[in-house]
Amino acid sequence: MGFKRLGIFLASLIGLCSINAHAMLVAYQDSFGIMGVNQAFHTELFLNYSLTPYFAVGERSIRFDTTDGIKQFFVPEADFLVHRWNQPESQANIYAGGGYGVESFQNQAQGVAMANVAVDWESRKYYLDTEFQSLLATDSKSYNSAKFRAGFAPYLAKFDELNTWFILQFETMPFVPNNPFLTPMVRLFYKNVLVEIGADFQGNWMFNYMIHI
Amino acid sequence: MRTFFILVMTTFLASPSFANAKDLKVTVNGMVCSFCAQGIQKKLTAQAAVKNVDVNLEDHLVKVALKDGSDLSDAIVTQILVDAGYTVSKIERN
Repeated sequence: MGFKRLGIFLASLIGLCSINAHAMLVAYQDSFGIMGVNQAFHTELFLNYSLTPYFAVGERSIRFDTTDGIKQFFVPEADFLVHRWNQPESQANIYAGGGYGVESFQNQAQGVAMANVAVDWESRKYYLDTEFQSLLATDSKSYNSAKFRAGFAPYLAKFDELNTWFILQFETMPFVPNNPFLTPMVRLFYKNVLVEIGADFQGNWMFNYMIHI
Repeated sequence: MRTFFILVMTTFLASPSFANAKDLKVTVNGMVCSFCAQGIQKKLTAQAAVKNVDVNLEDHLVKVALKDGSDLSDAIVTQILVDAGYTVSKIERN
């Protein structure tokens, strides 16, 4: 893959609008993040460290059960909080990030470039969230996925109480069989631990988690 | 008995509850999620001058109780909140 192709790939991502309220690609300064996505066709582990409130570095490990077979990606990445709007009753964010790592498939490895764009808006009662992730391997195969989420809190929890959210997620991964996926889920968080439990309408379970230290 | 009484009273009056403690009331914008706001409590509690931190999402307030004889400037409080990802709109002291 030439630099020209990589440039076109990254530039095309800039034009895409995507959201993920709790993607939290960058958290508060000097914090570590541990994030996991577990679905039957997709697992992901993301570890990162926020050097500033605007910049984080991390490592992402992804496993997709694609139409070609199981593919794994290991990508060191850098992420930026592009902009944040802090309002009295809401917060909105734009995150962007990217990295370059390795794709492993059938005991062969090749380079892969990755880019993420995430945008979110949330109040104490509602939230909207979308995320776009793209992986482009050196054999020119690309793996583009997108998530769109909408959620609401059935009650307003205090700072030190258990928070509960009901969320509906639409997810598209064209390289995975039976795409797309519509997944209702429950999100629970208490202090610095967040979990999401759900199942899509095809019967695939989902368990996500996030911890900030 | 008199000595004991004086000793008890001296200890009681010197305790933190009777000391000249200060409290800060910080109004914060963007503080809508307790999971995201954990950094506020973590960073403020780590300050040597801070006795207690109370985050109130409903009123957008962070109440900071300072230890006796300690102080925390507005600039430091604001910087901590900014590093946690938020915007300070007002700091009140009492």
